[in-house]
Amino acid sequence: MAESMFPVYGRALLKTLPIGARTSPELPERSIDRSVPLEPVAYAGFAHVIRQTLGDTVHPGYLHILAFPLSMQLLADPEVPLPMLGMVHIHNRVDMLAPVHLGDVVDYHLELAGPFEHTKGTTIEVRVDAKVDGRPVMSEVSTYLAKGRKLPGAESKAQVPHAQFDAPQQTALWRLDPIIGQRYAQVSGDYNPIHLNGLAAKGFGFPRQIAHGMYTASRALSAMDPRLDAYRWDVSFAKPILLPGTVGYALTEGQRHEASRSAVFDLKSGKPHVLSQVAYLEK
Amino acid sequence: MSAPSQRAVILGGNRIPFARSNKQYSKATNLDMLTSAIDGLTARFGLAGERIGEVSGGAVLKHSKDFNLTREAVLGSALAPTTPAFDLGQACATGLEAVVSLNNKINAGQIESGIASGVDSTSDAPIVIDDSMREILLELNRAKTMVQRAKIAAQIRPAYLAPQAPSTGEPRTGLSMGEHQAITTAEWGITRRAQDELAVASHQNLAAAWDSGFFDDLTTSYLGVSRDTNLRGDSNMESMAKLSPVFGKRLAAEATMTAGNSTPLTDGASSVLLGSEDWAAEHGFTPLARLVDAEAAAVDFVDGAEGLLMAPAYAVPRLLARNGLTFDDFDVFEIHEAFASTVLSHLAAWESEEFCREKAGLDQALGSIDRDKLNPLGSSLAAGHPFAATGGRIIATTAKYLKTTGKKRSLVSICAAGGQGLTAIVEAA
Repeated sequence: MAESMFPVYGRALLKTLPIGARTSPELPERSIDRSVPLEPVAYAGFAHVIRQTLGDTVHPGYLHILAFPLSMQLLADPEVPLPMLGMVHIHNRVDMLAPVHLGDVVDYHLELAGPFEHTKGTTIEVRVDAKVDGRPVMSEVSTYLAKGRKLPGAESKAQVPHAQFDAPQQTALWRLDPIIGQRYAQVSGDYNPIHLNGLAAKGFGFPRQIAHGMYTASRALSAMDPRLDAYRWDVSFAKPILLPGTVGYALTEGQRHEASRSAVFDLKSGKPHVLSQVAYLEK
Repeated sequence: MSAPSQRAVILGGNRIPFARSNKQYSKATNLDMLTSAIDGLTARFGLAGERIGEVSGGAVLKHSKDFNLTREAVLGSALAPTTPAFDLGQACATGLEAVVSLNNKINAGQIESGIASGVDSTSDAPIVIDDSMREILLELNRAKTMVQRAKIAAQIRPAYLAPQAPSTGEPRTGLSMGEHQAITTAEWGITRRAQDELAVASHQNLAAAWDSGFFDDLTTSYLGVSRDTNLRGDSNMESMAKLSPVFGKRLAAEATMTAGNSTPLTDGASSVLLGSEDWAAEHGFTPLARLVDAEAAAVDFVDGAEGLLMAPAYAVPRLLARNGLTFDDFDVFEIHEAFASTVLSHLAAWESEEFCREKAGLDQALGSIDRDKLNPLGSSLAAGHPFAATGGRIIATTAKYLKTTGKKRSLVSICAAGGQGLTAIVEAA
C-alpha cells in the first residue's frame, strides 16, 4: 500500500484557514529527492484497479502516484502562495523515456515551477524527474490550477489550447461505482476526501463524490495500451466524473498500441471528462 | 475406405429442450443438465457401461467448483466411469469447438469414439463478490496471526459485500453483446422489418420441425419440458412489430433490435455422438454426416474497427477457399441467430463487393444465400441459446437434416464473444 497522505492533507487543510501570512508570491526553492523501490505486491493492486494486465513493465500512472505524496508535500509547504486543497489538477504530461520494471529502484527528483498566469486563475507545476541506475526513465509535469486566484508576480505561459470536442460513438462503457474511489485511494495512497465521501465532495462544490482524475487517465492509458519504448502521455482533465456514473470511452485518433488519442466523456452531454494523447517520443 | 483424415462421422445427438432463463430449469445446475443430455444420448445409442474414447464439453457461465464439469457429468452418467473427458471454452462457439476437436482426434486416429457436449444455465449463474472483498478474503486466508487478521478484516466496507452477477458484457468494452450488435446493425443498415421477418421464419420453421417429429430422436424431455419453451409457433409480423427496441437506444440511428429479434437468456444442454467409420459399423450405427473442415476467425472489435460478432464473415470465405467451394455448393446454411441482425449483417457482408474485396481479401463478393436454405429448421431466435449448447444443437440438427432429405452439404457458422467466430462444413455421409 502506498504511503499514507493523511498528514499532508491535514497540513493542507490547515493552510486553507485564514491564519498566518503568505506575503511572497514566489515559490519556495525547495526540492525533494527520494528513492522508491517498485514492489510487485503494491503494484499489482494498482494495476488491477486501473485495468492493466499485471506484467513486469510498470504503468506510468504508477510512477506518478509514487511521486504524488512527495508532490503534495511540496505543494503543502506554507510558503507556497496558493492553497493546496481546492487546487485542481488540469493537465499532466509524462514522457516515458524508457520502460521501467518491477524490482527497479526509482530515484525521484521533484521541484515546483511557477506560479504561472492562467485565464482561470494561477497554475503551479510539479516537475518530476525519475531515474533508474542513473539513467533518466521518466519526466513528468503535473499542472495544478488555483481557480480564481490571481498572483501579481505570476509568469506568463502558453496554455494548452482548449480544443473543440465532438463526442465520438463510444466503443466502451465504464460503469463506475463509488467503491472505485476507495479502491483507487487504497492503491494510490491518495485519500483526498472528495474521492471518498459525498459530504466532503459537497464541501468542495461537487454534488457527489468524484472519481480520481488519475484513475480515469490511467485506465484510459491501459485501454490505449501503447507498445512503444518511448512516448509522451498527455492528459487534460475537463469535467470531473461524479460517482456512481457511467461514462463513454473511445479512441478519437490513431490505433491501440500506437500513437493515438482517446476520450472519456459524458454520454448525455457529450462533454469530455479526460482527454488523452500518446505520441511518439524520439529518444 | 476413405482417407485417414476423413474417418470421423456424426452419428446422432441428444439435447434437452431449451428453456427460458429462470423458468423450468431454474434449479437445475450445469452439471445436472449436461449429465441429462449425455445420459439421453447414452440411452438412445445403448452405450450404457461403454468406455467412450473421450467426452468434450464446456459451459460459458461456469462455477469455479465446476472445473472438471464434463468429467463430473461422465461420472454421473451411465457411461463407463473409465471414459475420459475434458472441458474447453470458446464462448458461444464452445459447443461447435467441442465437436471439431473430437472430430480431429478421431481423424488423427487418437480415439475411435467421442461425445461432444455443451451446457449453460443463466438461472443458476455463478455470483462473485467485489474485487476488493475478494482481495481482503484472500489476504485473510494468507494472514498468520490474529492481529494481522483483525487489521485486514477492518478494511471490509459494506459496499464490498454486494454480490455481482455475470453479465453478457464484453470485459474490454463494458458493452453488452446487444449494444455491440446494435452498432453493427446500424452500420449495415439492417431494417427492423428484415430482422422481424427472420425471427418469424425461425419460429415457424422450428415449430414445423417439432410438429413433424423431427426432434423426436434428437431430444429427451427434462423436468417436464418436452419442447423448447421460447418457441412461439404463432409468431407473426404483427406480434413482432409490437415489441419495443431494447438495444441501440443510445445510437443516432433508429433502434431496431427487440426482445423478439434477439435471443433470450436460456438454459439447456446438448450432446453429439461421433465415431470412426469402423467404430460406427461395429456398433451398427448409421452415419448421418461428417464434419469435413472448420475455420475460426477473430476480429479487432476493441476500439470499434470491426463489429463484435462479425468474425464469421471472415471465417467463411477462408473456409470456402480452402475447400474450393462457393455458396452454390451448399444446400443448407445454419447460421446461429445470436440476433436476427447478426445473421443479416453476415449476409450483407458476403453480398458486399466492398467488404469482400477490402476486408475479406477476395476478388469479388461472395454472393447471396438462397433464403429458403437458411436455417430451415429454425435456429436460436426460436430455440433459445444456452451458449455452449448451441453448437451441439446445430450439428446434430443439420447432420440429421442432410441424412433425411438426401441433401449434400451444410455450412455452419457461429459467432462468439471476444470478436470470435467458428464455422464448419458438414457433408452427408
